[in-house]
Amino acid sequence: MKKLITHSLGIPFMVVTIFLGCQDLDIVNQNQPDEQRALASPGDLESLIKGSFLSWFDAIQSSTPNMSLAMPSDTYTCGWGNFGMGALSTEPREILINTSSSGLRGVMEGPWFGLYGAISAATDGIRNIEAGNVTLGDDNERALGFAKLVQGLSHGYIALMFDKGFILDESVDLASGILELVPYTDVMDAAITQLEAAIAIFNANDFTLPNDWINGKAFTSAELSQMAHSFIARYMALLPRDKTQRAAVNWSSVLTHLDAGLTEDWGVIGDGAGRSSVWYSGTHWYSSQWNVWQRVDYKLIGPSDESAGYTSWLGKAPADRDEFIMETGDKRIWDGTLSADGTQNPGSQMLQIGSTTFIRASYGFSRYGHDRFKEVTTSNNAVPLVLFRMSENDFLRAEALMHTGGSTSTIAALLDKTHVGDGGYASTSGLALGSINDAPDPKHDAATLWSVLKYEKNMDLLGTWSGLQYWEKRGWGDLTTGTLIHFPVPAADLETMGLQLYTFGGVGLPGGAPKRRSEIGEDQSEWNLRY
Amino acid sequence: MRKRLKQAIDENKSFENEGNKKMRKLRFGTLVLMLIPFLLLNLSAQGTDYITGKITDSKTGKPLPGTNIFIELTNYGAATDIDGNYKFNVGSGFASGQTVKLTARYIGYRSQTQQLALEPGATTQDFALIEDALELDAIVVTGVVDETPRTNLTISVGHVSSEALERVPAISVETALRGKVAGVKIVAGSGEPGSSASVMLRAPTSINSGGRSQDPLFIIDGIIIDPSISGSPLSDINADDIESIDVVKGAAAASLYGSRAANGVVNIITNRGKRLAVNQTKIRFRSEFGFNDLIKGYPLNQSHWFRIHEGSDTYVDANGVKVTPGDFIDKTGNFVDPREKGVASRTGDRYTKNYDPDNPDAGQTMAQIFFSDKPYKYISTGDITVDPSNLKPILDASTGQPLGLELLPNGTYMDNLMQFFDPGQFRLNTASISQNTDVTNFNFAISERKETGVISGLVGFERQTARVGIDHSLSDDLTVSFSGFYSRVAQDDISTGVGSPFFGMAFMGGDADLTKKHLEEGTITKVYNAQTGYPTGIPREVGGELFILPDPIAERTNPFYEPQVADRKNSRNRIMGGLTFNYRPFNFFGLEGNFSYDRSNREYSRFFRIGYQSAFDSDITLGRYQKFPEFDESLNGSMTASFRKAFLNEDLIIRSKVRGLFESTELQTTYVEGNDFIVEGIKDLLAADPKKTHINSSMQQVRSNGLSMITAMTFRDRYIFDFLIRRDESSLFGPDERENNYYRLSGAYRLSEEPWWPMKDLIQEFKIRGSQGTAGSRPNFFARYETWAVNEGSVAKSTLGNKGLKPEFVTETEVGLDMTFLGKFSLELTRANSVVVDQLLQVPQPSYVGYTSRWENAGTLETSTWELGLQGSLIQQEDLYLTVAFNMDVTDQTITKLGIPAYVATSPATQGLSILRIEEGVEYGSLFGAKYVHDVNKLLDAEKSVTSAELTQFQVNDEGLVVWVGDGKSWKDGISGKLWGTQGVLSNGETYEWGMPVRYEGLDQKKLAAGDSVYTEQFIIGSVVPDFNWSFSGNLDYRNFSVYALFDAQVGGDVYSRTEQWGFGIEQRSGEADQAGKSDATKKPTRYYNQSGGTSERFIFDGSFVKLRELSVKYTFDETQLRGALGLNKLSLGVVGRNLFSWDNYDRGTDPEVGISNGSTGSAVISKIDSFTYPNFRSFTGYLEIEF
Repeated sequence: MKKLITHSLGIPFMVVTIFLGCQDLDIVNQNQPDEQRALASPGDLESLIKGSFLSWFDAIQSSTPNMSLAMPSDTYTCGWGNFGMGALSTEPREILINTSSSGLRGVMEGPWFGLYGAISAATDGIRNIEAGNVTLGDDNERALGFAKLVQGLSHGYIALMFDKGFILDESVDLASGILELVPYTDVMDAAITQLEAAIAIFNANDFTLPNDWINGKAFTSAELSQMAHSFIARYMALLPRDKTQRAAVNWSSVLTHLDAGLTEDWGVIGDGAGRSSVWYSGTHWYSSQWNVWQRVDYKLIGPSDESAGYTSWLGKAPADRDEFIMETGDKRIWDGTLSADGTQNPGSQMLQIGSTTFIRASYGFSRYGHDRFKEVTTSNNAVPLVLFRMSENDFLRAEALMHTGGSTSTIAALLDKTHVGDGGYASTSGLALGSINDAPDPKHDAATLWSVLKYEKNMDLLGTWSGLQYWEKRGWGDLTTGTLIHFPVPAADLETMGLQLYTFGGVGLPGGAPKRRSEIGEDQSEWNLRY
Repeated sequence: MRKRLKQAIDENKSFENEGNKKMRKLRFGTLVLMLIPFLLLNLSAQGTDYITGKITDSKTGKPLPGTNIFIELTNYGAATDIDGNYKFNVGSGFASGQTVKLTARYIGYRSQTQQLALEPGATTQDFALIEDALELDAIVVTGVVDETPRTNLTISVGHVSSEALERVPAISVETALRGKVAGVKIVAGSGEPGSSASVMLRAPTSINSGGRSQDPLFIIDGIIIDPSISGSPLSDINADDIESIDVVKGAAAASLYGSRAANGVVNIITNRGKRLAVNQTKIRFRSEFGFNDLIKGYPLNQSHWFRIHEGSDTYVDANGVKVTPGDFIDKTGNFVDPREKGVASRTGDRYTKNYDPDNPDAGQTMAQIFFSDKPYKYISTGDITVDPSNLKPILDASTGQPLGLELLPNGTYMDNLMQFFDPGQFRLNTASISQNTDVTNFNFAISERKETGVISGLVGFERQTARVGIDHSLSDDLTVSFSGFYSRVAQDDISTGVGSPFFGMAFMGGDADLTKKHLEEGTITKVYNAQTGYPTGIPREVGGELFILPDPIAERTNPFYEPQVADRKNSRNRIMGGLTFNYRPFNFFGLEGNFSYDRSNREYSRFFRIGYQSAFDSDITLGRYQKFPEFDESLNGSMTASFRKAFLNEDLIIRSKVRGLFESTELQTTYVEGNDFIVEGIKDLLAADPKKTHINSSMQQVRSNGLSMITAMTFRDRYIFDFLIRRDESSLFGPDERENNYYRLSGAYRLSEEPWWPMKDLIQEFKIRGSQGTAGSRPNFFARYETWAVNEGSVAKSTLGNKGLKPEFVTETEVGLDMTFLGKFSLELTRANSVVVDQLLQVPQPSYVGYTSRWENAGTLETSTWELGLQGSLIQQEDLYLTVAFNMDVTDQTITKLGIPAYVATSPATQGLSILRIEEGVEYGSLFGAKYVHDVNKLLDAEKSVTSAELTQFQVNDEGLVVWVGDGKSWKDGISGKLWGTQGVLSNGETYEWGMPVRYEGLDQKKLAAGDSVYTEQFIIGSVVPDFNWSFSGNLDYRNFSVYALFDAQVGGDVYSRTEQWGFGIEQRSGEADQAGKSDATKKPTRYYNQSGGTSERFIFDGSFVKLRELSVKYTFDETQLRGALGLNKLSLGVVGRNLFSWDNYDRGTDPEVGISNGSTGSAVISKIDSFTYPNFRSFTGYLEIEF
């Protein structure tokens, strides 16, 4: 009996135990591949390069830095502090805390790490192709050109936003040491070189992208070339940190690139997944959710006010500013739907709405909401997200002419497209050129072509592309005093490389914040009245 | 025998020759050797020689049923029957006149060993046992070679005996442990019914526990449960099933468990009927029922700063509204309701007469100079009806005021707290049957528990469990044991932290009626448009339903809404089983095979019906259904060969064990979400918009092998030496570091057993002990892998792998002394130092590398702990019995090496609060933030120092903060002198705002130049580490009455209140901001608080407390009183209060015992952050216990 029990129960039990004890400990991670598995086939390599564009898009169009930058540009306002929206638009402007524990770290880390992630992926893609690790056959040039495009787009945005950056391409051997940070101008030079390299490949080949590489449209190589040209023009115009640099831009080169650039609106199509979207833009999604998210800042629309409201508002200390109803002749604004007795009416893009519900600083209150992207939310983000409007070409062209002594009538004709067409104003023909020091002003009693350009460009392109109004106002010298002109390298990366932390921003503080008053010799009261 | 041995070896060879080539690969060669003796047939045989006797209480003479009695170092033994009698046979030929040691062991009594000459035939030996109130002979089985009485331990092992557990019924493992063992830190970070407390033994071992836990390894009846994998099992277990708990606190003791034991081990042993008398059957029921209550609330601001009509007259405004005293008005005197959008522009509504921006006094330029000191008049959700043609309110003909206004009851404020919290009920029913026979003992228990918690609208926690434990002797030398457990849990899944209902609750004004519903019944009736305030797609409020924003000024969702309308549930099923064969063919040699299985299925489901309202998530209004099913499954197996023998005339006893084991765990998670449902009320993901359906999944597999050997040597019962080694290999380690070795060396010297011990009357037991041991903490599953993220059809770098990743390695040295003195007291004093090297840290990579981070072994955490346990058996009389216990521990914990840049850890559920400073040379648990100046003279030392002459411009205000007041002014002059809102510039170029606290700030250029990455505006401002913890318990039995009380305390250590920090923000809902009742001299404006909105010392509070944790009173009717009524043996009636009182200084929250258990610190013991959590509460219950 005992033998039976021992053999029938004990032995099998032990054998099972020991058998299981022979288990293989080389467990494969079935959730994410490693490099070898991720890049095993030509299709994988294409996925890597394709994904690098999405990484670029995601790094800049998400809530950070897209919404983060919209607030300090004083074009949108928001009651909440998410994504640095509150801290970066505080008045008076404050120093940016650049530590790895700062609540604002995401504003910098999101784009910084995201863009270098995109650059790294594109560079890995090029390396693998050049090393012959996989063969893409006829699609080789398509992949190479697209990867170069991503390298250039990403380096370009780094140069716009940060004071320094790394330059990474397939010629850099990371195994030999760490990269050095170089000034933003060098980074932009590299970006333009990479974009031009992409253009050369696009021009030398004839191919069509799959429609999910840039979501929603199968771009041809010719269209990609146009896109690269337009981005070079945009980047060149937006790079300057002040108006002197802006005037010194090689505007004839900008015009050359515009001539070879886009001929229709460019963007991606949202993927229709609502808040879970991957192809998603922060300001597009939140702009029409104006109960707690974005409203339009008076500093953008106020210049169109024909009552004393905006002047009065500007005349107060920021802390005492409060919401008010404008009387505007701009047909893009209002639709408070009062009757035809001469009072306000249309409002094709911006609606007069209820009182601000949020209670953050009252200088951020506004009775106006941006209604232009409402389909983005109502369609669950399944509509085109236009990121480069054709009117931007016109505005860049107009500004290039302004800087280079071009024809004022040509400039006026370019501005009138939106000024007359959308704003319902009279033609700007006959207005004086003015200067880059002019404040935005669409009204013709004191306006100049410069003041109309500033007003029209930011009105029409509001929310279109991440940081656009911020970079514009920086170059025009129109940022509110103390706004940081560019961001420091995120503390997380500085710490990793053992570098010293630094930062920018804050009224009168060192470290790169614009000292507007000393620069242009204005006193504070005049400054308040104008901006 | 030799023939059989050879035969067995031959059998084994042929087994191998048959082609099981895997056997050769075995690193467990020892297991093969173990097989050999196992295959031997039993050589012992039944005999007719036996020992018999009776075991009684030495004082009362009463029999002690269920006493274990056995011959030392043999398999021969038995238990006493109901009359205290025993009888057992010994093997044929064993009784040959030799002297043997016969030991009787009964829980609650000192063990007794008698030497007797064992002659063939019958031998009789009686025992009279002495009570062991100090539990000196309690048996420990964890971390040691074999069952070991506490007196013979070389290490410190906490033990919670069945007797301790019986005094006051535990309702959870946590309550069973609390206050019983020194060095056990338990923090219930959340009071949510069914949530598990964080348990930490002695000190933390990991700087970054991301994906892991600082909780100990739990073992339940031999089944290993790693909280890093399957979560803490504490809330699955019915505490009534527990017979005893061993707590092995650090590596010096827990090395036996190798690379999973750095956090220590809690070994839970459940009832198996073993303690019953032979042939006794016991049926037991227990029913407990009671209710809960908040320990205390926390103060909210019940005042506002809006402009009101402060006169006593009544007038009609420009809109025809009759304005009465206390009504909200705008600055032109028109009636406004700041809570109804679109009625009027609220320009100016925020201002009180204390500061008027339209008529500022000279120099007043600052914003937010409002004084929150006005009482509310109306309930905010008055549902004012607006005439859409002119946007003016429709007036009530009788009152002349807008329709829908509703006065606050009795002119008071709404008590948000008491609206939201609702004392719930507690119910626990258990039943068990157990039996002990000659060959089988078992216990079968079932339980049912329901706890509704304290939140209105929630169901709470429901759990059913069933447990069985059986030991059966197939023969004298072969025993098979089975343990089985099943539990089913359903509980609410209320969200906590920022954005949760608790968050919403903390921001409701004193006029917000959380229970108020819209007037209209039925469908959606109110869709705000551009005119009235909101566009389509933004919060829509439904007639007959709760107001989403009962206080729209607060911009926070009604805390009632989610619990009442959303359907958020967690459910889980757990099944555990363990099978053990114990085969002991020789007295000196035995084998044990164990195989255990643990599976936990969990599902989190959240259903938001069509029309669900969210103030901030417009995407949810067409319905959302989320399901997170997941399961983990663990298989463990082990084979143990044990050896025990006496040498040197039985002066030396050696016991040894060799064990091989394997573990295999799999964890699978799935996430599915559907949005935009086309049919109302359907929980079918096919009914969702396919474009808005999201899926995700993840799988982890972990496999490990281990081999250990432990040997204990006892010489003359007073020189004790213990040695163990263990080798672990695991799939979690990098392939280059697959094998890791651990050891322990320990010894003890029982001086009091020496013949020369001079103080036997004074000190009965005196032992010194020392141990050094090592253990590990394994990386999380993902840590070692290089990963690329695959998303939306593209791939991108994620984390850089590390093939050399190895476990954290802790070396702990423990010394201590154990003594009993005066016959009434026992004392255990332990000092433990541990050094945890190779910390697993997530090292960020430079941006251009593309990979975000890499897990590396860097950094060292050093800790040291003093532990003191003192027990006293003050009175031991037949009718009166009094014992007391006092435990205390002190812990230091310092990051002595980091190896990566210093950083501040971010805590979950806090919206990015980064406050725990991780820096070399800094105490682990240090809090980091802004610091205020408290001493005027310190301004001279500040980087931006003021001159001595300017010091007179600063004063210390009533809150102990240095504020700037200017020359000749007092901090009390703010309102009378109209100074709030003014400012001045001093010689250092700094601008100071009047009356505002001065903080240390600005970049320290010197430090930056030195490469220090610290901004001086951030300092170490506190620490969560207590100065010490203590607990005190007392148990008094008088006749049939029994009273038990447990106090426990934390002395020192800080709590950081994220809740209070947010309350200082724009809504100013902190009670601190309430200025009602203050004098003008001490009133502070809103800006005074808002300026403190960042992470700062102002939100650090003393976490000290003394709590009356448990108070129990019980009366037991014994057999003589019951006289066999209903067949009852025993009936007890009792009342228990838990968490009854807390004496603390924490007035900003409900309880200083608070924390966040997940995140990189992995324990609420470290992340003592109060961030809108489910509050801990107290309970009062009564119970009935009967036994048949």
